[in-house]
Amino acid sequence: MPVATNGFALGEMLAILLSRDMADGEKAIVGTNSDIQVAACNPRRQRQAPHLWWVSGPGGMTNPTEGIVRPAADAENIAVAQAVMDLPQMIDFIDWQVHFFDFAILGALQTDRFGNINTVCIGDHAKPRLRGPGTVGISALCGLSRRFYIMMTRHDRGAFVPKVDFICGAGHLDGGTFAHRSRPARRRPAPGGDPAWASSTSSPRARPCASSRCMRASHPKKCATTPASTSSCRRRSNARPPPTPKSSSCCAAPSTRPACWRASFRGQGQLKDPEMNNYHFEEHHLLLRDQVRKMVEKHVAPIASEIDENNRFPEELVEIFGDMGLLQLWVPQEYGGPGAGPSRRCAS
Amino acid sequence: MCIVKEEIAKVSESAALLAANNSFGLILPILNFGTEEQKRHYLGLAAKGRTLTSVAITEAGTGSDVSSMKTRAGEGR
Repeated sequence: MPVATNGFALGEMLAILLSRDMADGEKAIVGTNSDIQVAACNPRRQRQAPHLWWVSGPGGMTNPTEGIVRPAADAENIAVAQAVMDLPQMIDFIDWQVHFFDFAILGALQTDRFGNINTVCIGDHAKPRLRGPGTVGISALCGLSRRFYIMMTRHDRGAFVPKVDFICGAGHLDGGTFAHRSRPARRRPAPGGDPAWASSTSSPRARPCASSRCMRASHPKKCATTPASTSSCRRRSNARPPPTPKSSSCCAAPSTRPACWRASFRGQGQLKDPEMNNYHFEEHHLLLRDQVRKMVEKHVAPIASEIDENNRFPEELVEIFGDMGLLQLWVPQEYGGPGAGPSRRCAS
Repeated sequence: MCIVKEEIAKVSESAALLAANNSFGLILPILNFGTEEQKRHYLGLAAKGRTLTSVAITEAGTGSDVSSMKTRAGEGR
């Protein structure tokens, strides 16, 4: 991580920017292995927000006091946590309680000016140039936390793109009221539940401007070289803005109108399987993926919109998932379960 | 939870959550602490999708925060 010339590290600056936005009594969720996030939470709680508390999502660690959170399975996390929750408890928090968390701090491979997040892949999903860690809890937290921060340690055109290659966390989707129109009522963000960015050169609070967002420069060194026009909101327009030098501060991304979110996720193109870049998949993984893909195309795609719009639990899918061995992976075969080993449990 | 959930979530996040929340965890109390009879009865049903699993633990003032619960279980006298 680069160290700024005036003596503080990028991570330190990001931690301070995030820390300033946290309020006493708020509940937050950060990822695992999230050192900057924890470095923001710890001093805020010690100094200005004694009732701030946070959990490291996949690890289930509450208020880890050390300035580092190790990967989820590391038992050393327990020593520095005030409480530990198991995974089902975390899923319960994340998925089913609207606004349980006041804010989430999320990372991204890419983000765009509507605050959409991509952590899945760079390039075509079927043949990606780079695969990320996947969606994990981001898709739920974007809609269910009151606000969320997108923390970026890179600030260039590769990270801030006109349109993310894969939406795994919905910000304002296509901009304007699109997010509200396209989501079921219970998943709509509350007023003010907006995405904000924390990056190497911009403030966590992006300013609203019509249907799109841009960044406000706050880095002391970068601000000095930032044209005035780029540190304020920029109107949405179909014209491509003039190129800005790499690592200049502000970034209303070039305006190409993103494709419809539902169209891109539920369109037929996603289900027709071109050959995938399978450099890290075993043959049985590909077989499982193809079986699931066919099942999804046949049973899930036809009802996907309807179950969201009617807020309906898709009971008819439960038996189908069960017959495919996708449920209760821990159950041994002697009791009629899949008896999946660790690899299969991860893959499923 | 990678391949399967991602494939389902491409089409429906709701359906992916169904698979995710019923694919691990919630059957563990029976698996670890149930009687042999309970295991024979429930585990197969849950794995085949003939019944759904859920955690029904709550108490006034604690919600699903099990660490704050005051109720304690013990052997009957």
